[in-house]
Amino acid sequence: CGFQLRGKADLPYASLYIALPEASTLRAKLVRSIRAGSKTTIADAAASSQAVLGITGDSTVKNILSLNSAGRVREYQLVRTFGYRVHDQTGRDLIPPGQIVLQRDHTFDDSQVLAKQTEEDLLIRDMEDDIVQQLLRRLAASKPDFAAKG
Amino acid sequence: LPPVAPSQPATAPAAVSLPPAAAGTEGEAPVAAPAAPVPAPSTPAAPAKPVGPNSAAPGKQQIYLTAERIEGTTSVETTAEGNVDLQYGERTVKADRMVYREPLDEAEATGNVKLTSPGEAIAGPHLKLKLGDSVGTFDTPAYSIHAFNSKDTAAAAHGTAARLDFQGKDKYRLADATYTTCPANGSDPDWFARVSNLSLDYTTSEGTARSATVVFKGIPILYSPWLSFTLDNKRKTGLLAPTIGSTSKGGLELTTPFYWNIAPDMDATLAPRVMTKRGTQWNGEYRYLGRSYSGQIAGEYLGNDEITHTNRNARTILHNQDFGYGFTGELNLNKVSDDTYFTDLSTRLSNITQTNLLREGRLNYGGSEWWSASLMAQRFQTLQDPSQPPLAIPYDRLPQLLLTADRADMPFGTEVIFSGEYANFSNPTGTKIEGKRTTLYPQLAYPMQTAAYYVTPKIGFNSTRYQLTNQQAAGTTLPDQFTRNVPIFSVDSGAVFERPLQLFSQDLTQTLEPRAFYLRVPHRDQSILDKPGQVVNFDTSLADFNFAQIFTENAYSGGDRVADANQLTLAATSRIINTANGEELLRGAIGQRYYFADQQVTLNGVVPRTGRTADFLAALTGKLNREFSIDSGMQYNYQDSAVERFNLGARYQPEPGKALNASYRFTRSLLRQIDTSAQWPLFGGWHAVARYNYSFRDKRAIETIGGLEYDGGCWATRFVLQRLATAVGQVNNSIFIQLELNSFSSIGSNPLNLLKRNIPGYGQITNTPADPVFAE
Repeated sequence: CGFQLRGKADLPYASLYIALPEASTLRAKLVRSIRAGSKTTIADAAASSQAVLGITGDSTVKNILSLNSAGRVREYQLVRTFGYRVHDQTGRDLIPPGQIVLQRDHTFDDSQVLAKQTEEDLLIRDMEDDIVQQLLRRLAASKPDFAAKG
Repeated sequence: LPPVAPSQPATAPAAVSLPPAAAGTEGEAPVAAPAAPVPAPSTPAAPAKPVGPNSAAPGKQQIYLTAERIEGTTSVETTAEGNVDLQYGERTVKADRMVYREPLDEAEATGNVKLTSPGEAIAGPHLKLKLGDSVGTFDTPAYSIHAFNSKDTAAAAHGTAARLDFQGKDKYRLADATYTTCPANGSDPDWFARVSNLSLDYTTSEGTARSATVVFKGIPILYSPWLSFTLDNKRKTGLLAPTIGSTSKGGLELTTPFYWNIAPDMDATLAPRVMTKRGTQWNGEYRYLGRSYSGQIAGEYLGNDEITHTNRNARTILHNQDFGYGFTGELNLNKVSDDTYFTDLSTRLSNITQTNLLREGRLNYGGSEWWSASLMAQRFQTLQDPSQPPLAIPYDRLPQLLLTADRADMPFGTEVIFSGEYANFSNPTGTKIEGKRTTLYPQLAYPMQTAAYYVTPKIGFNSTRYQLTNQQAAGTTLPDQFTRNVPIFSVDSGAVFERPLQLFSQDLTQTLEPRAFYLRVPHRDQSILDKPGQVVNFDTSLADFNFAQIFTENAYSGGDRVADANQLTLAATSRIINTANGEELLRGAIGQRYYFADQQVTLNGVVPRTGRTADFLAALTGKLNREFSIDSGMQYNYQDSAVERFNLGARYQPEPGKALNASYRFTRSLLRQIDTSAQWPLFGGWHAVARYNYSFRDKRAIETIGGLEYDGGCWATRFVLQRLATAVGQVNNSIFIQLELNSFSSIGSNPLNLLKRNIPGYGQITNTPADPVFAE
C-alpha cells in the first residue's frame, strides 16, 4: 500500500544548539533523537553552532472537563502549549516561529490525589515525547533562510 | 509634513512670509521646515519671508505667517489680519487676527482661532501661546487631542473647556471641561465626564481628573473627587471597571477594583466587594517579577460574614526562584478559613470544585545532563462538603526526596537508568498507618535506534523498603519493617513507515507507526500490604487505561504496589502530516494488550483481573480542515462487551472570535454528559458567549452560562448569567454586569475570557481582584 520505512530525517542544519537547561529531560530526548535520526551535530554553545533552537514558551494548564453529581471534578484535561523558534547567532529567525499544542484527558478522584498527581506526571512526560516527535518532523521539513548570513 | 487645508482666498494675499528656499503654491501656506525644504515650485505665488527669533538658527522650527494683511516691525511685533495662517513646526494656527510678539515668542490669536497638528485640533475665540515652549492659554475651546505621532485616533480625547492651558509639549490642563473618547461625529457622545480640573499628560500617558462626574447616555452614573486614568491603554494606577452583580448566596454585590502600578516589575490590585447579605470582602493581590524569581501573594478577607458570623478568608502565595548553580525552588501555599468558603463566596468553577488545597515547597537540583534531584514537602487542606460523606484526607509527604539519573552511551551502547524515592508519609488524622518508604530502582537498557525503528530491551530491579509507624493508633498489626524486591523486564519496539498522500490538492505524508511492548514482572507476594482492614496505601490507585499508561510498567500509579505482569501491548498510530512544513494534522491510534497470565497483586482488596485480553483503545484527534477539528477516544471492554469510556468532541472555528464546541463524554456507570459552548459575534456590535453542560445521569444541568458583550466603540458593557450546580441538589445563580468606558478603565476584559474561564485554569485559589467575574 505504498508504505516504506522512514529514511534518515535529516535536519537542514549542519549543527544545532538547543537553548534548554542541561538537566531538562526534553533537551535530553531531543539530543538523543537528533543523534539517532540525522547527521546534524549538537553544538555545545550557541556561538559554535549554525542554528539555535530556542523555546519561546512551554506551559501546561489544567482544565475541568467534567464534574460528578456532587460538584466534584471527574475529569481533567491537560493542555500543553509549546512554542519554539530557530534563529542564527545574531538572533535572526531562520524559520517562522511555531507552536505545538497537545492535550491529554485523565480521570480524577479527590480521594486519590497523590496517585492522580503521578498519572498527571506520566501524561506530561508522554506529551514531552510527542513534542520531540512533532518538533523534529517540523524541523526536518523546514526551509531555513540563511540568505542574510555572510 | 502635515496637510494643511487651504483656507485662504484664491486672490493672492497682500503680504506673506516665505522661507528662503521654498515657496507655497497659490493660496496655500508655505509649510517647509528649514531642515527639509520643499522643492520650489516653478511658479511661486506669494512673496514671503520667515519671521521669529529662530528664523536663522539651524535645527529650530521656523515660523511662517500668511494673511491678507501683515504689518508691524518684524523683530518687535507683527500684526496679521484676515485669514491669518501661522505655521510653526507641525502646528498650524488659523485666526481672524493675530499678533506675534517676537521678543516673547508669543502669538496671540483672536476670532475663529483654530489650532491643528497631527495630534491636536483645538478651536475657540482666543489663544495666547508661546510657540517654542508650547506654553499658553486657549479660552473656551472645543478640543480633540490624542498622543502625538499616534496613528490611533480612536484614543482621541475630546470635549470642551472653560479654559485650556498648554503646559509644555504634550501636556495640557483643562478647567471646567468635558472629556470623552467617543468619536466626535456631531451627535452627543455615549458617555462623557464633567470635570472641574483635568490634566492630560501624553509624555507619561496619564490623565488625572478632579471632581469628575461621569455621564452615560445622559444619566450621571458616577461621581469621584479624584480619578486617574491612562491615555494609551497601558497599565496604570487607577480605578478599574467596577462590577455589579447578584448571587444567590451573597445578594446584591459591587466590586470596585483599584490597580496600583508600583513599578515596572511589581503591581498590586485592591478590590473591595460589597455583598448585601454578607458584608464587605477585601481582596488584594500583589505580583512581582525579578531576574531570578517571580511570584504573587493574594488574599481575601471577609471580616464578619453576616450569615455565618465568622471571619472568613483565603490566601495564596506562589513563588518561583532560580538560585543558580542548577538549583531552583517553588512555593505554592493555599489556605481558606473554612470548608464552604468557595461554595459560599466564589463564582468560579475552578475554585468551587477545589477539594484538596495544595501547600507545597520544592527544591530542585538539575545536576547535569543526566541526573537530577528534588526535595519536596507537601500537605493538603481538605475541604469537606457538609452534604457529602467525609472524604479521605491524603497523606502528607514530609518530605519526599526523588533522584533520577539516565545516562546513555555507556559501554557496549548500553543506557543506565536509576530512579529512587524516599518518602515519609504521615496523615493529619493520626488514625492511619504511617511510614517511610524507600524505593531504589536501577535499570539497564540496550537501545537500538535508527530513524526508522527502535528496539529497547531493559532489565531493572525494584527494591522497596517500608518502615511503618503509628500502627497502635491505626489498630494494625503489620511488621514494622519489610522489603519488597521485584525484577522487571521489558522490550519496547517500534517502527515508522511513510507514504506520500494527495488530498484536496495538498501534499501530505501519512505515517504508520506500529509499536510493541512486552513486559514481564514476576509475581512477588505483596499480600502483606493488602490485608483486609490493614491496607497499606499511601499514594497508589489503579491508573487510567490510556495510550500513555499502556506502555508503562505498572498498572498502578504510585509506589505501593508493583503489579505482576506477563503481557504484550500492541498499538498502531497513523498520522497525516503536511509535507511542506511537517505539521501534524490528524492522528488516529488503536491499542490492545494481551495477558499471558492472570493478575495476582491486588490493591484495596479489589478482585484481581482474569482473562487474556485487556480493553481495546482507539483515538482520533486533529484537524479535519482549517475550520473543523475533532477529538475522540474510546475504551471498549471485551469481557463485559461494553464501552468503558467514550468521548467525542468537535470544534468549528472559522475565524478568531467565532467558535462552536460540542462534546459528549461517557464513563461506564459514572458519567454521561454533554457540553456545548459557543462564542459568536451577533449583530451591531453585540457578541455572545454561552455554555451548557448537562448530566444525563443526574438529569440536571451542571453549568449554564449566557454572556453578552456590546462594544460601543468608546465603551463596552458585559452581562453574564450563570447557573452552577455546586453540590448535590444545590444551585448557585448569579448575574453580573460591567460597564467599561474606554481609557477610563484600562485593564478590561473581553468575551474571549468568559469562555476561557469556563474551561478554567488551576492552582490559584483566590479570584483576580481586578476582575472577579469577567477575567480569565
